[in-house]
Amino acid sequence: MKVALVYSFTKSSWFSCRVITKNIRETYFQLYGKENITEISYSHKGHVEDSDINKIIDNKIEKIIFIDHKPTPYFFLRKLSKLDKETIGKIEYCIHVFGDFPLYLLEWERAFDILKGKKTRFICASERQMLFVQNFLKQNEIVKFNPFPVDINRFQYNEESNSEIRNKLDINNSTNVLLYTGRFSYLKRTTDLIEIFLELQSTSKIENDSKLVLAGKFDEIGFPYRMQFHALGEYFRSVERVLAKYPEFRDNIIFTGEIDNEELPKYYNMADAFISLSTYHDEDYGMSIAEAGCCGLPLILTDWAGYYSFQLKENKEYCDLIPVKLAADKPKFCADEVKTKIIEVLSRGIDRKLMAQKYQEEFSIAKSVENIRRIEQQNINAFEGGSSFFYRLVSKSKGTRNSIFVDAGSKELNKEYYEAYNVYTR
Amino acid sequence: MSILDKIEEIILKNEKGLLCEKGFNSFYSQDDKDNFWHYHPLNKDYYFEGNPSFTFEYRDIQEFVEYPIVMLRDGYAGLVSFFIKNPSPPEYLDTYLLIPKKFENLIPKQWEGKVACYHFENIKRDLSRKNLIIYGHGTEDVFWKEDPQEKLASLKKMTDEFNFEKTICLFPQRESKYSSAYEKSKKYDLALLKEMYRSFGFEIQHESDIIQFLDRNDISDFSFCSLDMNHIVYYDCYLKHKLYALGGISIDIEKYHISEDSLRFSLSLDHEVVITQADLAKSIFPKIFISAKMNGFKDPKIESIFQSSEMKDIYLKNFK
Repeated sequence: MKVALVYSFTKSSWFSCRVITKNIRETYFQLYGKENITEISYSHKGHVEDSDINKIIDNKIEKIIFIDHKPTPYFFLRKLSKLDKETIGKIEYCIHVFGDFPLYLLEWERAFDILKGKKTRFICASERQMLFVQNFLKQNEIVKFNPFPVDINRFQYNEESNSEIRNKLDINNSTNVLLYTGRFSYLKRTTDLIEIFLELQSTSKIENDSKLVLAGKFDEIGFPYRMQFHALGEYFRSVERVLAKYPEFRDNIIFTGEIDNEELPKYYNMADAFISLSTYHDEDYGMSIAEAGCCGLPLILTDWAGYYSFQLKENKEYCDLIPVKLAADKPKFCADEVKTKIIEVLSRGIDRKLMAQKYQEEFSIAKSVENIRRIEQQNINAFEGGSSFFYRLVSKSKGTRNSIFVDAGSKELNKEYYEAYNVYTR
Repeated sequence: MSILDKIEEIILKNEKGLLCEKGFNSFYSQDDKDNFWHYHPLNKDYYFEGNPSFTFEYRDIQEFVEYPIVMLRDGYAGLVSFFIKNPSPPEYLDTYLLIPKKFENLIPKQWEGKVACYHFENIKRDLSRKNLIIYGHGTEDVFWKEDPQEKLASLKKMTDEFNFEKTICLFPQRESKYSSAYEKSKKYDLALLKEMYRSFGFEIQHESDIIQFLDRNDISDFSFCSLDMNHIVYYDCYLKHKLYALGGISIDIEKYHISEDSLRFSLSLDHEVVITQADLAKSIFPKIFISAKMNGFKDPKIESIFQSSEMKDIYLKNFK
């Protein structure tokens, strides 16, 4: 089969998306063979060259696969739709959906109009995101899921690299280390994480030399659904205020800044557990978590959105999930449950090599090839468009400058939010 | 309780008077708005409990009463304009002002007990020798002490010490908004670009859209410095904070001898604001005030201060 892979040839500003697109691309190379693939640049701003569009006809492309996080396929499809209708009507379309799906509903609406009647499939990165996206479409069967794959040649268990990073960070080999990598942000719940960790130390529930290592950068995203935008430095100051409450333990919180990608596997190998309490509204997956799992690092995660998929059905002991409930201001979890899980995980001995093996089996590129092959063997149906819920949200976004998920009066999250995000919790 | 103790208490309490609740960057005249956007994004807002803001964001000094602290981000022209209008604090004002340490001697003695000074410092970390980012606008104020050729040559000399692998210049082209017609005709922005290539060579990377460059987020491992070390229009520049937040380290840090009771508040993982007692013993404000009165500045606008040769002379004599 002749296939076109559509993505931006310019690197994304989101590091994890760069890795994801690279690994999905590798998946398709292995599935179809390089000789059958035409790569087409579709810029993050929605630009595609006419000559690239013509390649679809010239190379007799039978399937177009969108593998980047932005923009939506709309601008590409609009240009494509100017070509011979019969030819493009025969092409199959496959869209890998990333986390920001509900942020661009108006573009999706136009894309849906073009895709109607054409054989189309949506592939999400996690089971719960699949349920989430199904809610927006008329047909459930056209939405599948396949975890974003990990390059397991890079991310694997390696006991030897343990001491290198610990020496660099001045941490003893016997000290317990919790690790978080990613953005430091309001909905990533970085302040909650720090406060919970410091409370555990100040009450002597965990060793008082234990460390929480935070690798990444602060952002200004805030909570856009509630129209709460942060100024530069605002979230950093919130974290500082938490640290100021525990002066005797603040040195146990280590901010590394952004770490070199080459060093990431060493960090995963150095730590004793990975923790993320994120309730970010579009936490469709977690590339760093998949990578940590492939290094055999025990996981403590909120039972929220795509994180749920990281608990392996046969080996639940590798990934502890903390229940989350939707609430009017933001999703909630119980701090005491987090504390209990941290204590349990730090004292639980697991075979990290075996854990790494299990996660590699589940999240490797080879597994991804197998998953996509299985999905493709299934019948592909003509696209019928969005669900009534989708069109209700579309009309709402046309009628308001405010977020569609917030009540204009009370500023609380509204019933549409509950309807959309209900599937992200258990 | 010293003024620093009171300021510390207010900042740590963080209970009321945060400017972000009012809405950042508000304007009371079209001129202020035009000037703001002209210098954007150097003057964009950022967060600190000390309410970093510009004098033009307040209708007048009465509006300060809503905030327990106001940290003025203005440069020389804005501060001179403010103190000429307000040579002494009104009795009803409980607000503490934070003034750039560099311009400590602009503060009238009548403000004693109501003001403290601030400056920024790196939180110790090694400089990156890989990339250097130089940012700023090629406007007249940047060249008050040196012309573009001298300025770029001295900048090159300074950065050569560090032996950076690559230099990136964030120089959008903007005309000198506050300048007289004669000064505008000198087209400092074009002269800057010419001298940039002459001094740094053609390997330099030039970016004219700062926001787009920062959004691309493809820079890591870098140090940075500002083109503007005069601080005539602005002192506290948004880009400094943004570049720190992206993981860079500043190489143009002002150094002061400060006492141990100074307050330090981190603004990112790599920089902090340092708040110190204001020393008003060497205030040059009387000289400025007399000059202003003799020149008939009744309601001195920043533009008038900027274009006044007397005010420029005072600056050049007192701020080396």
